[in-house]
Amino acid sequence: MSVSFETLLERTKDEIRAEAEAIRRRLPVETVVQPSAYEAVPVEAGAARGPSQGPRVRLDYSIDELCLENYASFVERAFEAIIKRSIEPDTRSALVRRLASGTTKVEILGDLLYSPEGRSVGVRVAGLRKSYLLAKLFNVPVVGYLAEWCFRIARLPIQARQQRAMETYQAGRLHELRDAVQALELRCAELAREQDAIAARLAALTGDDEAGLKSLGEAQQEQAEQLEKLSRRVVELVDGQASGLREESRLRDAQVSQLAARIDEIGRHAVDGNEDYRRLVLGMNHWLTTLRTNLAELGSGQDTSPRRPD
Amino acid sequence: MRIAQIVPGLRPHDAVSNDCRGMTACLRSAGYEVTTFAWSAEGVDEPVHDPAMVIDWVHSPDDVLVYHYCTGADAIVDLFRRVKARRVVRYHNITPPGFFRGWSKGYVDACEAGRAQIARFARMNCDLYLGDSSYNNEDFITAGVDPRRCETLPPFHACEELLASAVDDRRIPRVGGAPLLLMVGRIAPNKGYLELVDALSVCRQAIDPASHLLVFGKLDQNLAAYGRALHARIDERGLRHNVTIIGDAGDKELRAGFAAATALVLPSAHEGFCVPVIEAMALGTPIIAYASSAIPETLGDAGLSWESRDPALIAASVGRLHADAELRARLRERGRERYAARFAPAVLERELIRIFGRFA
Repeated sequence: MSVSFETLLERTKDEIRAEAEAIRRRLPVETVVQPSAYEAVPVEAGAARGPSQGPRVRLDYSIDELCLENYASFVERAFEAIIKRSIEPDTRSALVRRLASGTTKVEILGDLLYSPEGRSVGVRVAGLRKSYLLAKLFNVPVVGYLAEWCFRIARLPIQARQQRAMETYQAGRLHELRDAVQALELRCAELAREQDAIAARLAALTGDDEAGLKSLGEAQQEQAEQLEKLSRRVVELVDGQASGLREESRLRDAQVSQLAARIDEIGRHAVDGNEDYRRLVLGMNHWLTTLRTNLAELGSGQDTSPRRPD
Repeated sequence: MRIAQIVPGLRPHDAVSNDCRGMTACLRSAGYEVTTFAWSAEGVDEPVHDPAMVIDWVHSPDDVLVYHYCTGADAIVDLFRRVKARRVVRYHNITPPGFFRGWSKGYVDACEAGRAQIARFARMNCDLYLGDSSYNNEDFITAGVDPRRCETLPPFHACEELLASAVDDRRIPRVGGAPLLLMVGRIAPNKGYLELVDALSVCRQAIDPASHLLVFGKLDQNLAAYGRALHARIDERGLRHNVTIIGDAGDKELRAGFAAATALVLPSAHEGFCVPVIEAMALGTPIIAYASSAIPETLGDAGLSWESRDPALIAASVGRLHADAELRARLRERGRERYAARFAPAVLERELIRIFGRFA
């Protein structure tokens, strides 16, 4: 059955995907930008799309959405969303260090968005421009400090409320963590018990194996001895057969020699017999010639004395 | 019935200009009286009139005014409001401005202005919205246009001229059997040239150190920043001797480039149709493409299309095509079949006459 072009194409594409994966593994990390960098982001919710049309790159985000994660996860997610490629390890470390030194997430987002590469991608983050400008203003010496001071004072009640909420949240998380640690400790104890049981079982299995190996060795030795005896018997039999064959061969050689001598003798007798016949034929031939000559002379009457054959 | 076509500019080797010329020729051969109006024209051997005069030329309600919409033009919106003739928006798409942010404010402004007019044309309830692709039509349907007023007609093109052209390979790089990646299109951020350079870099490391990229594309001086970024990326990857950019190629050189290339590689993130795809299909060059925007609709299954621009994936595709003669042959065959069935001039002419039959 012939394979359709579509099937062949899909199969080929699978093979190419596998080869791409192999290339990624083969090449040094810094020389291959990871695939997520170039992958299309899913279509925005609600956006219509034709059945045969390709993916659209998502370009609109909100600050809250990008700030959901914390620490390194925040940096990675923000970078991928705004720059549309995976973050390099050095950039990741640098941005995490900035976060750790007190830089706000909004400032990180703004720095990414308004960098040359970020602007080339053209992502929009709703409400970021205002917050980013404010964050930058706070960095201006003296004026920025005063501005932030005023801003923070103005927001103090809100921040106090947020802090109370955060404390409750952290207490809840701490409680959950404590429970989780206790559960883990219990599980560790169970695992330790299971480990001991497995070790004991392994030891027993090892003992059984040693006895089994010993009996197996003995059986193998016995088999080896039997094999040696058998091979000796085979050698004897072969030797006996060989000497019989040698004797038979000698007798046959003698018979062949006798036969050869007999053939020579017959040959010689045959040659002698042939010589006698040759002489007889030559004699008769001479006699006949002489006879024809005498008869011819008698017929002509020139010589009446008969010639004797030689 | 008279038909007037307005196009912003007529130039050689320009997709919109080729479409306008092709439509003019087809409609004339069908017996319509057709005239072209443009603000600028070069290399055109027929009279082209000032768009300001069009309202005097198509004065009857039976006449048809076709506007090749590919950029913002307030004058045309006003004209469409005033004209009595039936109105057709031939939509070639406008690149979303986001692609140009950080590179060119002029482009951002122009694209924003151009796309803002989609809603204005949609509200006019024109007689026909004729998109190069259904991807293009979607912009108008999203803006509220009745889908029954939308039709899809691939653009008329110059592939046949390209096929009939002689070959001039003097400027085509000699790669000695190594993979030659080809890209055709103006040097702009939405075309994905930076990603293409990354893919070439991986090709060099994983497939063949002599891998080469040939680009047929002009750089607009308004996008000089992007051009600098492209050259910086090329230098950063150590590819200065592995990239050839030809900005002024004619048909003969294009033909030679398509013939020599291992594949046309298109990492473009936004295309309203993508004429180089059908040029490659007509000329038998295998295609590797990022399945964005209208590209899957144009390419179909006549090439290797991917949901990602991952350089390793592009490099692996190039490597496979370079090594697999049977795959190359099958994709060539598939491309030629698709071109003949959907994009050959006779097919487009038949379809255009059918569509304009509604105005007869």
